[in-house]
Amino acid sequence: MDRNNTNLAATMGDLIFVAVTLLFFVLSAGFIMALDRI
Amino acid sequence: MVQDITQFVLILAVMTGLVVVLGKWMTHLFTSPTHNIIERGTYGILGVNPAEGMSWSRYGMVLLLSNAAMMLLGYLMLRLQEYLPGDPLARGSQTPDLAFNTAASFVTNTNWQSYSGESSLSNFSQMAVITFLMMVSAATGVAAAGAFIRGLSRKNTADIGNYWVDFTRVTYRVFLPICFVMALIYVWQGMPQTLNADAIAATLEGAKQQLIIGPVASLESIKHIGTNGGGFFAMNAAHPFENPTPLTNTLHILSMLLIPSALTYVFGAMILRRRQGWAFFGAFLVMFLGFLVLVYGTEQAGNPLLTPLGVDQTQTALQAGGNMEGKELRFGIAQTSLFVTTTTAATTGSVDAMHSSLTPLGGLVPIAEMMLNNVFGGDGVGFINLVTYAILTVFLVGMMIGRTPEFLGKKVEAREMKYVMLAVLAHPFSILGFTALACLVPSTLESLANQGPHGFSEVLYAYTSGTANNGSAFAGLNANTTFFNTTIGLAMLIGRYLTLLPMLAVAGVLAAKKTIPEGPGTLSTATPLFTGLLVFVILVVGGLTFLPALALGPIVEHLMMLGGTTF
Repeated sequence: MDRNNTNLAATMGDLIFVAVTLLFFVLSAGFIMALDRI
Repeated sequence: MVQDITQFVLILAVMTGLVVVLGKWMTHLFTSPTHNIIERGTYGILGVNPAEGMSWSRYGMVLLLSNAAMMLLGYLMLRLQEYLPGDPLARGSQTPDLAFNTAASFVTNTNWQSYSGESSLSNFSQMAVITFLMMVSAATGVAAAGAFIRGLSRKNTADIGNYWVDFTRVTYRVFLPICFVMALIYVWQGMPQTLNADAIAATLEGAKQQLIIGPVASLESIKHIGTNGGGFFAMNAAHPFENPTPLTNTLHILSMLLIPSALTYVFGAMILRRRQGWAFFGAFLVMFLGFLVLVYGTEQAGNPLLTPLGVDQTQTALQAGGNMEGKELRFGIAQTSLFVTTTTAATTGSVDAMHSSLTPLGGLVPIAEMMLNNVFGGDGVGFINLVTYAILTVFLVGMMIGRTPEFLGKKVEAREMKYVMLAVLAHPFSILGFTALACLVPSTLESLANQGPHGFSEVLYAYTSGTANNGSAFAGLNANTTFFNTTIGLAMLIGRYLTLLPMLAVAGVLAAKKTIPEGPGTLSTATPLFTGLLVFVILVVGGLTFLPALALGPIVEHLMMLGGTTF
């Protein structure tokens, strides 16, 4: 049971941090486009 | 004292000589129209057209997306480490928050380490993740600087170069050959370079001791040439395997300064105004010397509270004197002070002493250098940061005398000033914002080894180091928590890209402008007067932005020490 919980927490952690990474770079790409319109 | 000053002068003289040698080579690299056979093969494999000229936005987008891909690859390998080959010590994978922090750290050229290298990473990870990201992140910074300089040197065009060409050339023609030679020298000096994970030594008492080893020399070479800073071992360059002799200590210092200083020559050569390059080199050097004098003076003076207790802190032939807490006896005060000043000036983050053990004013120096972020600065980005302030200086002076500011024969107008201000403001926004947030979080107290102003300095140092892409730690802060791993990870990403991208935009906008002839009202930017103005503006803007935070940390700690209280 504990092992399952650990695996679940790690998987959730992976999803969150991959999403955070992707979100940052997508926002940065948007930042480039916004800068280009100044 | 004379011996100390002599070694400062000698090292800085060698650095200045290397500026010309490497500067000429890098100028050729950024301007040569021909590609060698290895480069052409690489372009073929990558499927890129080396003849394509890129606008600043396309250049920035390619840089950003390639970095995103490398960061995700690094994250994946750190998470899967326990399943990957090559580790007889069976070290486990990093947790998700730590892997995020590590991947963000190394792709941004920061090299902040919330982990201990010898217990956390296999030799495979040290090579395939850490050393790889050290190489490509440094190449990214230098490539961006090449494009930035190219943009400033051109007129009436949107083309600032090709990212893949710059990146490939910098990797193949600068980093790989220099690192190869440096690694051989390091091996000669006694650094391990092996795929074995450990060695068993017999101690003098007869006990068995496990020594962690691995491909240290190859990592060390790019670590300093690339202004990266992440150590193979937790003790970083204070570990005898990472820094075995005074010669390696000196080579580390020279390596850190090599590319940031050479880029001033590249700049002068590419814009066909050599004096301009030397004027910027002078600005770097003036600030560097000021900080070196401060840290050396305070560390050599030692702790005044120890004198009444009968502690002899004077420098003699038999002892270094001063404040030797946290320093290596074999390096002493002078080499350590030079290393401290260099590693935070060049935003490397490698340490050969524990910065938390510096005197309060000595500890202020690395924080202040990272806050300014343009005292030589990291590979590529340090030079870009200096030009950011040069444009700001031109603008401020232009406003004072009522003329349209000009820089390198081009009018500086509202659009590029907006970009400059975004780049200037992103840096303190991240440092001060995240520091304030951490101070509000109750769990921060559990991570601190010290209370009072020293504890505050530990938090301030962490976010300053992360945002400035330095990576050194003050020590005393347990940063391996979900909160610190996430927020310092974000600080590193913000510090890297939200300052770099607006400045690429400046290069793009200036490249598209026509040049105008210099008139009697043109402010020359290649004179000692302008160098002085530039340093003044950097210090005033930095002081106005960060002095309140510094006052709460090292400054009040210094005053309290004079009053008899230490932390």
